[in-house]
Amino acid sequence: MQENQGQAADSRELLTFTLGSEEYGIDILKVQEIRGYDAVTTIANSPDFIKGVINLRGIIVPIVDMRIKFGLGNVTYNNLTVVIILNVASRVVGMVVDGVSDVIALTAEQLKAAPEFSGTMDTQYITGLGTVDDRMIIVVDIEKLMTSRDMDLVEMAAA
Amino acid sequence: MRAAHQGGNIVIEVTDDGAGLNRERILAKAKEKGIPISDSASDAEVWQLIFAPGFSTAAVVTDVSGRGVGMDVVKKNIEGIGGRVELSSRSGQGSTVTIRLPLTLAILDGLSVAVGDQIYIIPLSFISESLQPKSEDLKEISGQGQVVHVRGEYVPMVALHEVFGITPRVTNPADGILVLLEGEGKKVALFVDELLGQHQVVIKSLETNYRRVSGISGATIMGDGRVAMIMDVTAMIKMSQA
Repeated sequence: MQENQGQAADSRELLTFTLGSEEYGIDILKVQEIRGYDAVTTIANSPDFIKGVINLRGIIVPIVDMRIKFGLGNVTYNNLTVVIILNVASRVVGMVVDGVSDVIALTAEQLKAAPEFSGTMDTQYITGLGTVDDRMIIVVDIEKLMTSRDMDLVEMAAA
Repeated sequence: MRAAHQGGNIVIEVTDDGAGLNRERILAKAKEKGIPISDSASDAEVWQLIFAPGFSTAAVVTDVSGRGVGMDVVKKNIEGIGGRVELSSRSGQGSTVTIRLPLTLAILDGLSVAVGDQIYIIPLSFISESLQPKSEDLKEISGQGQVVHVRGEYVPMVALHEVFGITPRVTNPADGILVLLEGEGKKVALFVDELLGQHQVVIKSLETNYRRVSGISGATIMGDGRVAMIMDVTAMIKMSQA
């Protein structure tokens, strides 16, 4: 981690969301907006966690359901279903989560390295574990995750 | 050189005052390469030969010139973006190459069809007709799928819901609609639930935020704000022949 860059870089703001009973945090600067879940247009022969695409004010945005991808939470779609629209690697991607909880500031001391374990989410996408008021927040490198081969969202260079 | 705006196209004309195309040399070369063409073929047909890959009448071949690649590439690329190349020539007076490019690459005439709860756009230029088949016109070929009998011709049938894995509202082709597609000299009958209407749609890339999807050439936004996929007919025809 590159935390020791003075006071300003010491704390960073995260948007936290829940998937099942777990709480995740992502860099708030990667978040474009938060909106409800609309009807999607399905994409043929895509993995089941890629719900399809929506029309977001004239741009076509793919929607990923993180609950299906990581097998967490109840996969239901109603007017409380939340989509976080992300701006990662100059792409716009929406992800469905159980709920958006908070915006928190996390200092370097509160962020601990993630232990090596094999969970549903590969530890290479986890920046660390943060502790805020006895809550454990899994801090995810969302850009790395969304552009990874696992998500199948980006064209891979390999033929 | 001249450029003009004609209908929905941009027309670019490039004229030279050179020797023009030599009909005899082209015909002789075609025979030598085994391309079937009769001596009485029209000039236009003869000129088309120079677009064939590897076709050159050049006596001197250098590192870059005279290998018969140029015109082939020109034609392929222009047709790739929906344009056309025409050629006219008079011996001793020069030649004119006319390139027609569609004015907007982003608008497409399409037919919208419904399958299950999804809407797909089929580019109109590939559609020859649509029909409601009678059940006696539908024939099964064991292990090869179904064909449909259309005016003395058997056309392979492709069910769109099977290709795209959608739950259709109609499973019997006799209750749905077949759209006859024609491309690359092949025909295929596409089975859909129903026809919705004809639209001019703005093509939006799927690749901007997602990636390429086989069988889909892009997406568009319909009047009600929903997204519809634009079908890649050439890929669909290839899939049906595989």
